[in-house]
Amino acid sequence: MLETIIADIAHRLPELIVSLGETFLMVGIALAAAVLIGVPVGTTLYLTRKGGLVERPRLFAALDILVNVVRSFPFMILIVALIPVTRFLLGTSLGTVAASVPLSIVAIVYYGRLVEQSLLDVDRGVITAAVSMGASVLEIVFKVLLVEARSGIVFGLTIATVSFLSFSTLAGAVGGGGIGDFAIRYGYFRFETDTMVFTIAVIVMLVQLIQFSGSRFARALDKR
Amino acid sequence: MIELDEVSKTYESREGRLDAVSRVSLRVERGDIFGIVGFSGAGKSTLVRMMNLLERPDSGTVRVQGRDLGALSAAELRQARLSIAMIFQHFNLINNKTVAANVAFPLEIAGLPRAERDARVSECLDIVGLSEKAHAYPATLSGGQRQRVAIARAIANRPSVLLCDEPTSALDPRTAQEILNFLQKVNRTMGVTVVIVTHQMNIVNDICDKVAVMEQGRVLESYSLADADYEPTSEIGQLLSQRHANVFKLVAQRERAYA
Repeated sequence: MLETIIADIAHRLPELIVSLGETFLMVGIALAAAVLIGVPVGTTLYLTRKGGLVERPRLFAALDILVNVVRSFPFMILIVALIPVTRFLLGTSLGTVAASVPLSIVAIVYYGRLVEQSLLDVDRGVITAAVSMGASVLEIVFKVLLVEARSGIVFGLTIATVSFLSFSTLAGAVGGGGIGDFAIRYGYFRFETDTMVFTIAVIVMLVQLIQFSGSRFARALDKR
Repeated sequence: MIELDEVSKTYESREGRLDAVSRVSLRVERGDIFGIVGFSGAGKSTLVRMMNLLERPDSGTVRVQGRDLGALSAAELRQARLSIAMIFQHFNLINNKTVAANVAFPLEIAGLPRAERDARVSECLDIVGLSEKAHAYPATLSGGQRQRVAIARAIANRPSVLLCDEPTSALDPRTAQEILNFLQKVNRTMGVTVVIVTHQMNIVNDICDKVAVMEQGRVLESYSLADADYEPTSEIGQLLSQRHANVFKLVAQRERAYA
């Protein structure tokens, strides 16, 4: 009994590793998008809101609504809806990289909100002090806001990474592969329950590892 | 040094209009330690925040070192603020930066080269007696130490004015006294003009040369504490002038009146 299970898993292992690689690629691209674009989006939301340092009510409203609209889409629908965009960007709508496009879009708005929230938690008095010292908006953003909010921003990224991992499991719909797709194909469609259980165990360990190291890093950054 | 001319500020809220400051005119001379006293809600904080335009008056002009702050461009105002330092009731330090990095922050804004920055940081920390805490984080310091870091940060750019918004209100009396001594030291040794907003009357008698008494957004009177002939007309002013006379007599009178 145990021997057949081990044999089954051993048989699927090479493909599991390939799937894991695909997952890492998709989540990695999404993370890069979250940091490179999501942080500016969150910062813009923070700065332009009413009472913010650079009050721009119209820009804020537009961005705020856009973020909410994207976040409203069930991810599966978003993947399909974005097919033309993906095709325009990459020339194809199939494959791991193509599946990263909708994942990145979700990553940007999702992480943007988390960043916005972290910035809102920064003590306003510190901002006032920086303004009184003659700091420009950019100096305040880079030398005060992001410094004071850094542990929340890292903690948010940890939460976001776990969510991206979860979202990435739907990538199979456009041939993106990944570990979720692997679990569905073998564990579900082929009724290989042992493969399913093993795959889920791998995902659980992955999530534990992400959360553990993220929380630890966030705590180390927090000197408040 | 600082001239406020007919400045007013009104806040509109759902509860209605609040005239935080109405038509206040005030002069602070170079080298003064100038106290602004009043009960909470008198508009003192709003007034001092006008002196570096953290609050923009609805009307009236604010002049610091002869320059009309309201007429400056955003960049010019930032430049002007380098010489108008400020400290706060809750210190407002950057908690994720070390003490030294906090003091270096205004110097970075001023664009001072790194080598000079480091020298200036240790000089300022030395003045407030916190050299050994240079690499500590604010969270590990006491309230008094944090306010001293804030003073070091404030004087880093060698300002001509130091605005203090309730600088000792979050501190115990002994620590408060210590902070006042440092403010006095900064005034005397560096020639920095100091403006102190407070509801703690004893501060005024301890270190101020001049005082303005505020109530409901207006300055009731403003006078020099050295002027022995001046007879304060406001209630707070009279309380202040009782320091040598018998404060107890006044209190006793009041108690009789209420009896």
